[in-house]
Amino acid sequence: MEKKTIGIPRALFYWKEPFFWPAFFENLGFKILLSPESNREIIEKGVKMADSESCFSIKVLYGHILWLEGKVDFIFIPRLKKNESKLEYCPKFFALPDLFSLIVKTPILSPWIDLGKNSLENTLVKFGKKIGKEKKSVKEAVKSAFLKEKEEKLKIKENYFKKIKSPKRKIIIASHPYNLYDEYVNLRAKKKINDLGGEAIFIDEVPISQPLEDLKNISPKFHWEFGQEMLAQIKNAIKIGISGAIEISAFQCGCDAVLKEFVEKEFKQAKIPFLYLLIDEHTAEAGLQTRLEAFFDTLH
Amino acid sequence: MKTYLGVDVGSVSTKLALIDEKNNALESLYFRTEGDPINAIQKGLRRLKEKISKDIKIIGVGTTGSARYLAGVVVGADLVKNEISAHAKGVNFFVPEVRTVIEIGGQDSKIIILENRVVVDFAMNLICAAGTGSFLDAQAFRLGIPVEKFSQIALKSKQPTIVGSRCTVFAESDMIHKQQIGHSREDIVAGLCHGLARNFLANVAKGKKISSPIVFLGGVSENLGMRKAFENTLGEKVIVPKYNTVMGALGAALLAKENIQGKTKFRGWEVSDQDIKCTSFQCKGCPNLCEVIEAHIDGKVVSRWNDRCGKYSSLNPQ
Repeated sequence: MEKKTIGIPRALFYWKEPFFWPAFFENLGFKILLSPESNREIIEKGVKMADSESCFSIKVLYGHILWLEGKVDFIFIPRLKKNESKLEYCPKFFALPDLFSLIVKTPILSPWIDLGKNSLENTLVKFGKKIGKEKKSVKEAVKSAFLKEKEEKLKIKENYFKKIKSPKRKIIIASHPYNLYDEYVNLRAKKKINDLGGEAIFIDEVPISQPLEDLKNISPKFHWEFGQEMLAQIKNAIKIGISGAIEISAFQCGCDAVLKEFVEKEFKQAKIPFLYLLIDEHTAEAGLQTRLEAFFDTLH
Repeated sequence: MKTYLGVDVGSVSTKLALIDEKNNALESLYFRTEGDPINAIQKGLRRLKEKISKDIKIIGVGTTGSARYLAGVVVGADLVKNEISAHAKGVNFFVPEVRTVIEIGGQDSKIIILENRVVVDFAMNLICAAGTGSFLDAQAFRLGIPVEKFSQIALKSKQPTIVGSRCTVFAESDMIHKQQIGHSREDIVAGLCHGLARNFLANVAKGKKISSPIVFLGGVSENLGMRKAFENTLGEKVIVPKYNTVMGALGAALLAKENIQGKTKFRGWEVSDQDIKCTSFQCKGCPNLCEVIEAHIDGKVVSRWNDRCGKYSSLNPQ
């Protein structure tokens, strides 16, 4: 029997676990088609189709899902509710499968992920039943996907320790993974920073020293998962001696509107120069370059 | 006499400034870019040459402003600097005690915070161009008032009307509404200035600590109504210093002087008479479809830019 293909959009939730999901489905015997890195065509497609209320990041996801439409047997869009610390994902993540079932004809695969109620393994065993996969093979697939993710994250960790020893000016970029790792979306901010003589470090590379459950004790308390993690990471990043910090937000991100104030406060209290950048489909590289150059001139 | 030239090419206006080796400002020019930065630079150089004595020699050039790379190619710049650092440099030298700089240009507005003559924080308008000079320009046109007359009309107002300041699109409809229900022109113009000042403080300057002395720069600082609006809103004195519209160009000249090594790359006064033009083409190498700009001087390609991957810009002569 020919293998069925699952399309995974290279956007939004993908960047939260870029290694786990492809590995999981491959282990279950599916073929994976990952949409390409964001490019103008994909973004334009997304912006055209998305409702105007959506944040830029969701518009990017639209583009990737539309790119997959017609090329695959299923599209993977999980319903993300809560993480293991019972902190919620952005409400827009929760509604994604419903939204896209109205937009694409391709069937959507959508496990309901509420780690506050069920472990990921149990969730996926249940999900596996729906797609005709046995408990045993799902469990094995989860296990080896976790291993794969662990392996890749170890590489990032090693790289991080190399970076923090760099004599260059270390610049933290604080943002969501889908802004940090999508070079089209962030207008190659990392490259620009490195070209200006800095060493860009993504906030999600910074290890969290305390166990995830303890994040709940970090104040202020956030309703959303990334807020708590990011604040813990910022506290650790400040300890390694950084020269500056940049926060990148996607236009119309409601969660960031709240988070921004706290991120800025953390850095400013530590007397670290801080730059806030807002990105959307109209943002030009020239404007970003101007701000980054000026920002580097303020670092001492 | 040996001098340094600063060129600041903005979206709406072009500024040129010349300093001598003792950092004295010798000459400066301010005029509209009129949508053609290359022509504006050529025109500016021609006018500058007419104004100065024959023994003046340019031994360093700095460019700034949103067209700084283009200007750098056209003039032959020794240094290309972003407009925030260039303004900070100019202010630091000519108004050294300053703590806060408010600069409002044609399409951008910025705030710069200095401590002990060092820039510690800044912000520029993000994706919204509300509260910049272009908006005032458009409204002046709509009201049939030359923008240069805005000042005297605004200052006549005793009761500025409240114009919504969040977004200029709404500010405009708000303004029309006020006009239709009978508010006087003075009060509307003054209200508009207050709206823009509030918009600037609520968006660009949000979260910044504004300490005196405060200076107000850029084309919009010529507008006394705006200065008064800032003073009323902040409750502090706002200084519009000498060289308020050409501070970026002066800063670029100062920076060029500080950083020059060896012979200048200045291409000479004949730049004004050369055939300089830019063309663009769409690269079809990948789905990004970059619009690559190509600069030609007397028919020869001298520079290319605006490609994401560097396929063309990497070919530029260094």
